[in-house]
Amino acid sequence: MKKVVSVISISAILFVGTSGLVAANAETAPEPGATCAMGTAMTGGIKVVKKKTYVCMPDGEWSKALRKSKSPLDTEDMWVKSADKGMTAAFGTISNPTTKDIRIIGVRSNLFTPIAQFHEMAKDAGGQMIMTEKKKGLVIPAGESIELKPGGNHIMFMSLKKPVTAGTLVPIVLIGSNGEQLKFKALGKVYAGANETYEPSGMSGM
Amino acid sequence: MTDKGLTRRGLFAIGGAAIVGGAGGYALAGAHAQESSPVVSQVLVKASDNTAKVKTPFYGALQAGVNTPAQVYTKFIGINVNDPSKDSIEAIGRIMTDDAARLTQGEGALGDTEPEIAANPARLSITLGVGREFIKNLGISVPAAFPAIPAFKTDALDEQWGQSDLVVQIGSDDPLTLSHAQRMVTKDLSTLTTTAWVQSGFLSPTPAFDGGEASRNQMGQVDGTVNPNLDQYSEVVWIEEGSWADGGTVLILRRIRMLMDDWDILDRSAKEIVVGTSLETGAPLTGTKESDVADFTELDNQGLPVIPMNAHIRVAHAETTEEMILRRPYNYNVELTDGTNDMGLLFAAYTKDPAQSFIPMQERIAQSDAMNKWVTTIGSAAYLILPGVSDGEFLGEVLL
Repeated sequence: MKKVVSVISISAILFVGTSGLVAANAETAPEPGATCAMGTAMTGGIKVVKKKTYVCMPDGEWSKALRKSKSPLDTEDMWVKSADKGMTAAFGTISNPTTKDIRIIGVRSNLFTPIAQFHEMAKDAGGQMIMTEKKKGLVIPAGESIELKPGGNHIMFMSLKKPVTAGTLVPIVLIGSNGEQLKFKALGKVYAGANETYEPSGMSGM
Repeated sequence: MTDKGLTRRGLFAIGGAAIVGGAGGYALAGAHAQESSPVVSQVLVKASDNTAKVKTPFYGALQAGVNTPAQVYTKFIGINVNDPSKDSIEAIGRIMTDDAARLTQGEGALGDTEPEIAANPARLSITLGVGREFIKNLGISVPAAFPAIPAFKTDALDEQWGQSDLVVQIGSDDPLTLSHAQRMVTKDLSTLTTTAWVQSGFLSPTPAFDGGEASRNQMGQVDGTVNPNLDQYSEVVWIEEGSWADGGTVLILRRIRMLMDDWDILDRSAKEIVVGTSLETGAPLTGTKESDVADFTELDNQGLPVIPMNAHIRVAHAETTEEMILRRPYNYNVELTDGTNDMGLLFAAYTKDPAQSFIPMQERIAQSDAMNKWVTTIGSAAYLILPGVSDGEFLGEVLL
């Protein structure tokens, strides 16, 4: 495993991957604070039980039961790199017009099994930019905007269920730590870049 | 600066008839008999003005690029759709709309790797049209306004410049901006479409005459273009038939090669008789200045028409409003590997009713235009320029 020597960006990366790991338990409401790390880097995920949402948070624990509400966050210029399979990422600007910080702890999209993880960009020992896990989620500070862009912050999707083709609108939902759900659509676009190396922590044994 | 006035190209394209007595030939005949009034139009910019920051509005009931004063540079991109389907047209429409809405307003496209280049739109417009067969293959009704455009007997059509599923027309006063927009759009569509051809055109940014509006083409003719006045656009250009095509128009794009070596053999007076206008002044042979209206009845002292029966401006002349078209011609010049040049016109005609206007005119031209000896149409394609959209809609939505 590569060693992270310096964090050069505070950017958080929302990381969405596929796995049946979480779905297996779908009927039972998890205990808040129970571990959901699954023993791999693929923490995260969402359960909906009796209309309550439970998010496997980036720190590897289940959230409390979250009641769905509308997020006060705004999005602008959202797009997704088109891809046939494997990983891809979404970009754009998320702004927080409120006076309180808002923490995003989960992501939901039909294109992917919901597994969320947060990362930050860093250089490895060789000087290459890689992503490593960030435990707090993606915080949108009060009154500020976060730009998600190639080489910086982005929402990352792993293991596409189906291709993201150029020109299609991909529905995505971001879930805040109080259950606020931010729904938006991102336009699929051809993009050659955004091929950042992903180096999950704790994956050395895989 | 958009609020003050009109480029000379604006006059050219929008109010041309008033200004242009000049002949300019095949692309622009009929000038002299059309009555018209001086132009009052949106964007008044002197030729010397720097239009770098000028934005052409994107959203609206009509697509830009038709009544937009002709930009100095243009590219027509003929593209074929890999999987002709409504899904494809939706995806293409969404991408085109998003790109055009941003780029024309001086912003980078989504995922633009060179957004700095987009900062000077220079009146950039990006326009989408669909071919007749493509419409039919989608299983929707072809507008009455869009008949098949026949080949004409003088045509020597090369499939290289033939019909494609779609056309993207891009224009800007800045060739770098234009190049970037072309790159962005074709890159964004690359998984959905295949480019069939690109036809690049240019205009002189300088009027043929001080205070005039028309510029010269590569044969030296004052290529003023006889065009409808702004108040005639709804009668001449924009479709209004109670169909999904309302607010669109039919573009006929013809690539007309100029046989320059043969043209060089003619002396000046012969060149003027062929077209029916003075090379120097652009005036009809029955007049003295560019803006003079041609008198097709005037006879010389031997009893022959001053403007010959087969002179271009007579043959191409529109007698009625229904016969008129909007002309938006560009020059093309392609350097060939043998060191010679292929020169000519990209003749872009826009009409709400080609059956009444373009087709009969072109038939008359094919029948008897003296100019036919020195020009050959080598490419022809026609498209329905889609109705414009408002924010939240996408181009081609009417096809779904």
